[in-house]
Amino acid sequence: MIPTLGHLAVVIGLAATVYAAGAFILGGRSGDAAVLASARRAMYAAFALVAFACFAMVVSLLSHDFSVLYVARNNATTTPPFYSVISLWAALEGSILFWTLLASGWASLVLYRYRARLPALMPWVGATLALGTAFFFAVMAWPSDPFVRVTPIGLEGNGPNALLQNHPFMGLHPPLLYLGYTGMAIPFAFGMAALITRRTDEEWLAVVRRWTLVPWIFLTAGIVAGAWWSYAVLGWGGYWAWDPVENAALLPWLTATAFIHSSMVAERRGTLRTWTHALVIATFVLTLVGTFLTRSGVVNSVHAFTTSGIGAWFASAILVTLGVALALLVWRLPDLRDRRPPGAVVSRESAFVFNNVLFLGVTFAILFGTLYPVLVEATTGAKASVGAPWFNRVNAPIFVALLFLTGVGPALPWGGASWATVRERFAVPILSGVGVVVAAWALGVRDAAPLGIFGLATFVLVVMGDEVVRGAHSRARSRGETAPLAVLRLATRNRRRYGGYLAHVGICVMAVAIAVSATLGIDRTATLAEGETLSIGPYTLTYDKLVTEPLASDPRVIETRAELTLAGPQSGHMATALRDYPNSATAIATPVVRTALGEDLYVTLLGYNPDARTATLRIFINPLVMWIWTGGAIVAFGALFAIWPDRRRTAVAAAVAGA
Amino acid sequence: MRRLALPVAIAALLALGGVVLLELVRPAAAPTQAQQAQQLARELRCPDCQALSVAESQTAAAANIRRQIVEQLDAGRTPEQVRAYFVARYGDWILLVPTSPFVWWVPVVAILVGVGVFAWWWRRGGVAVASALPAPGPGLREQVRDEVERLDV
Repeated sequence: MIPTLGHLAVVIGLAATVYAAGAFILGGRSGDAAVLASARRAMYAAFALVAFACFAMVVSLLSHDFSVLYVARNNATTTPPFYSVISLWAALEGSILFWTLLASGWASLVLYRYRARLPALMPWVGATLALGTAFFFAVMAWPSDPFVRVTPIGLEGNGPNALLQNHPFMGLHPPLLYLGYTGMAIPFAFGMAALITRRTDEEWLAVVRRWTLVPWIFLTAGIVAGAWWSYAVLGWGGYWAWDPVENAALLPWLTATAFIHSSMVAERRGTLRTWTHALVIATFVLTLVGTFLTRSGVVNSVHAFTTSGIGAWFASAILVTLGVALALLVWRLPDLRDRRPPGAVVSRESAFVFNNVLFLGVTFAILFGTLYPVLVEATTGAKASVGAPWFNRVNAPIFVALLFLTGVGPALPWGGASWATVRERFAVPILSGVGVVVAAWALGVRDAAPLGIFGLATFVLVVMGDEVVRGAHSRARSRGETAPLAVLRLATRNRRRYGGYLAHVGICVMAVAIAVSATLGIDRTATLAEGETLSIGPYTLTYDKLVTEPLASDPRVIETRAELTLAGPQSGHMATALRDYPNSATAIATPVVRTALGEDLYVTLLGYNPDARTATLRIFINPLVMWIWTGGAIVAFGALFAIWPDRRRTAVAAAVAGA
Repeated sequence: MRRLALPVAIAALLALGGVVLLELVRPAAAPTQAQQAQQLARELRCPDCQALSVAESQTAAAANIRRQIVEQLDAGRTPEQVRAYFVARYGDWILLVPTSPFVWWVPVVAILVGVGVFAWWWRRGGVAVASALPAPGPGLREQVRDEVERLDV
């Protein structure tokens, strides 16, 4: 009964979104407020319907209703409730249902917030969002129906994908990522609306900047949480494997980041306007490409769900979106001409332009590397692999150059800098960077990557620190404020600038942590007998015994764990396990991680001999890893600070608009 | 003093670059056999994983390949011979970095094209260094407002 209602909700939802799209277009042409209001209500209804469908699916999962194929494939009677609920997004059909929920949620939120504003743009924003949501409803109505029934009804289901039920992070990482992905439809919708109505002005840019940053924060958090999940669950001691689905998440993040930077140039200088529009389009299309790549089975990945019939649907949607958007862009090119010539080569906008060239370069390289095996197989029939060594070698120099620009941009004024300014702004940061490199060398760091990143990060941080100090100094002098108050006021009254700096601080923290953890760690593999002790770095690890028993929370899962006693900077008992899931051919590693500010001790059980009672352990000492996640959180917080509504600015804007 | 700051900074940077270059040119100690084995394991794909190398994977197949690498190096074969052995057995697919030079050229060319496009865009009316105040334009109002807000007057 409930699954049938869920299916019905999907079908009605499809009808509602198709109606909304038509009504938005009609209302946009005629300006009829009643038609537009009914279109908006249809979108709210679609959101309510898909929310009900999700509810129906969660109820089916919790009640282990194996008459639903999705439940039979992804649930078992022993699945704990938490993992039953999050199984909503653990496989193809459910993830599309969840995706549609978030997409229509974003659409409703935007339509509601702007119901009385931007009257010229909003009908077309609504039409674009409605068409996008309708596509996902259609995918659920035809090729990927989440509520397909099955007879005869089995007594037991297959259980969720073993990898996905091994860690509670699965409850956090996909929703964050999906909120980021689906939210990128908003800037795209505003972009389409601006092109259609020829309102490609600064008002448009201000709205789109904000609505790109909102999903960007979720995308950033989702990517970092995904890396953390990979680190905590997969047991290989790393956090980023250049797996196709990781790349698919990174691609729209890169183009969105490029947009966040170049839109400032478009706003301030009236140039790069075509380019910023193109980036908005690219970001949205890349979210579709990512879904296509990982959900259609074109590219193999940890996350690729079963091969399904949705490939053709997504491929068509990508082609249609790209075709229509680019045609619209070309048609409106005369409106998007630069309003003034570009500034000097040594200027903030040129730093942003190079930033964009590099962001697009790295986007292209990652897309190329991800698709290369597909291209080779399609053209020659041979199989090829492109893996981490290639991605690291190609992308590392580009990311290093981007980090350098992070320091250059803020130090240069808009329009152009004189040599005197360049001299004044860069001398101290460069000297500080060199000083830190020499100091690190003297302290015994010999690897090129951490040395270089230390120097660059110092350069960037000193440039920004200098900016803050100079701004605060002038405030303190002119208003008689104390230094901390001056810094606080300066930041809260220029949220965009100082939020951006904070995000850059987070990037520096991440860069240092990535460089150090990649080069200065220890990685040892050892086979120990019960009672044997191993010394690694400052730690002493004793392997006490091997225990095999069913998991308390899910007795179908057999856990074999090596119990360990740890002494050193951290001490105590811990255990690292291999879990045998009934629906997984290989055992799933459950690494144990002891995190400290300076380094993680990471132990994973590679294998064991049940007769000899020996355990083969892989032990990593990963320095600074927690700073990768911390840096990511700082980046997201910086962006949040930047878009946080500023009462004074809002009041000024209202006064300006009223005048 | 202030005039000297940037030249000094650049001189320091160049000196540092020189030291780094000398370090790179100085013949490095020959890699130990364990290092060679680790390097090879990083370059070979784990046959039954999605994106992991043999060095990172914990599957039996990966462990088997790691063991074979060590055995073959022990037997006196060069890293190139070991790599060729696995390519002969599994095909080019086993290499995480394709042998085709094409894969290196494409990203480099893409970035050069990007720089070229923007250089061309810049040539239409750009200057090297600003010598005068920026001309008034749509951005100026925003810029002035920002500066005023910064001063909070």
